[in-house]
Amino acid sequence: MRLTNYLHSVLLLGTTKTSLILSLSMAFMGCGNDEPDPAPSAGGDWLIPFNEVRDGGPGKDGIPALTNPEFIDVGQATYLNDIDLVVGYKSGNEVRAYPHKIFDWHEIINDDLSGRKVAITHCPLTGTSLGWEREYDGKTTTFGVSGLLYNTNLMPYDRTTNSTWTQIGELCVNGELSGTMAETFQIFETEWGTWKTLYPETKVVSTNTGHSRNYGQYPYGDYRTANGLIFSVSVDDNRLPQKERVHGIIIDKKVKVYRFNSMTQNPLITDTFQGQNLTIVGSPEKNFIISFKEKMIGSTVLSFNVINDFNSPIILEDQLGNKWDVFGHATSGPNAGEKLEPTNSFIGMFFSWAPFYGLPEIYNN
Amino acid sequence: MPISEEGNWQFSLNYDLNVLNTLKDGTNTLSDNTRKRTTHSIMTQAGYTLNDRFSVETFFSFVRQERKITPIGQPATFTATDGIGDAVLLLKYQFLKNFQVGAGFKAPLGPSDLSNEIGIPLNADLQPGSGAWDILYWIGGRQTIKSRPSMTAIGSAIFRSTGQNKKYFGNQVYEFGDELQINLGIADRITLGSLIFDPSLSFKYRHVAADKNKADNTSDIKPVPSTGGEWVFIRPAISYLLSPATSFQANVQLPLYAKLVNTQVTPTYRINVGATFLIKNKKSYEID
Repeated sequence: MRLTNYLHSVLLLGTTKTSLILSLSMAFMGCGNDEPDPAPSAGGDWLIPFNEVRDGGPGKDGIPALTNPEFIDVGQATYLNDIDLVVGYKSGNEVRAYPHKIFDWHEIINDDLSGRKVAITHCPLTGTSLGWEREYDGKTTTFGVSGLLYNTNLMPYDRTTNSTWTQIGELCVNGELSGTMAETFQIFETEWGTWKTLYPETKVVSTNTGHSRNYGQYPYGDYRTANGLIFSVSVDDNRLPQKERVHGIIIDKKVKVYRFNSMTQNPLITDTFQGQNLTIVGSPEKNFIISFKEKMIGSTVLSFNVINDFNSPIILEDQLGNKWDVFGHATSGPNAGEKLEPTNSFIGMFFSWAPFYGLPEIYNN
Repeated sequence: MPISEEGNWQFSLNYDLNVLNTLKDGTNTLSDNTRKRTTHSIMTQAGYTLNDRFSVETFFSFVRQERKITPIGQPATFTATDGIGDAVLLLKYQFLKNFQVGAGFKAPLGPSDLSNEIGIPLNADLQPGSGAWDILYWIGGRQTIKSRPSMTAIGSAIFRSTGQNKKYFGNQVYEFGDELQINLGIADRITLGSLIFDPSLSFKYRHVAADKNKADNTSDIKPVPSTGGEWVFIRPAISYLLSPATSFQANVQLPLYAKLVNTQVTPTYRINVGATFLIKNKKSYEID
């Protein structure tokens, strides 16, 4: 007498397949490699609604963050198309690009530029890329992917204290560093074609990451463009297309967003939000938006004009004759060496702002 | 379960180990074994032959789901859940000698809302149950090989039309992908002295549609990225007949081919061992 075991297979549904990305998502105190830690991320108090934190699926470090990855020259980056999004950053004389194609599989890149230790964090589910410092409480750390999601957004963990952070909230929400704000810095998100035009000397992350992945494949299907989320969020905001990429400026825990199509006619906007005068510069064609706080030199409030049609990193000129680059450095003119103070801002899918900061104000809506 | 005689009961008790430790992108195996999903199951199956046409089978299980991540240069982490699995009821009808069709359902008996040790809800993949009612359609049969009367060709197919878990993460909807399995194989009987063995070799084709998910009101339920695919497995098995009413089985299932939607962790091997018991009705004993 023989048993057929078709029912066994039916009962154990879901056990013969498991998505790597599902969520696409636990921080643990250090333990030996041969003794897996049975406990997820630090328990204790959370600064966010704990019942809205989700296990994304891959588990802690199931999406492996990169640390000091290999970089290649522009000419070697054949895996990138001109329209592929990258995060650009310049520190000293080092110019680097971190492509979304890499972030889609790793989400966090810990890097050292000119001795500066940074972490570029990217959440594929909210389309948000932020530059974070890696020194807290006098200790240098690296960030990893906790495998947790809050409002469908990446939750990094720092490997020094095992504390869990929220990316868009820019805050440590659980663990020893709980309550510590992430120290952010300005990155420049644009497409590869624009970035390599601005900085042809740039280095870009190689696909030789030490991990076997298909970097030519976007692992989230039609997620970038189609309506529908994989994980729910606490506040729905349907005033604009859900996945539209917008530039959000955060002031006093409020957000104002700027659409790319608002900059079609005018690549430079001066605006006021939460009592702060702002300069917003962007181009749908070049696929970037950046923003700076008002700058005074002496008694002069600087006003700007766009120059060079965004074909050079020098994009602004003020009435004093200073010329400014995309990172807000005065590269020439009477006040060369001065710097524009960047806003706390980044680009993200429209739906992603409201759950963290309430319904955002929409420029020119 | 095989066709039996009216009034007979058949019971089985099995342990199943399913290990997923292979990362594939489409049909390409990636050099990465950092993620391991393991499912341990203890399964009980009961079948009763109502008459010479109809029989009914039920299936219950206890499931332990494990996830171990062993990242390069970082500590390994481990997450596990366990609980009663979903239950199946299948009514079968014999339309020809040795050929049956069946239909039934899978009831969401198992929990689908378990959390990790600190209370963070785990995703559908790590739950013992599915939270959904599924409908099952089955067809199966066997045919003795004329040239070798001890040898039997075996075939079966089952289609699972999945339902929706409408309480996934409290307010989301989740649906595992519809699934088709086709099994074809041969079995033989070998006698070694007084010992009787039934070795078999079968192939399984399995196709699973993408899972579906609905997390907000901006769209209908839609496919979950990087889920679904098709597989071909080979499954050598052997049974030892201790007596006409008691047998022990063991089989291993190995993937021969897999074509996945995008990149997924996919089965590496599966082992199943168990025992089957036949309780004949009084009439059968008299006939025997």
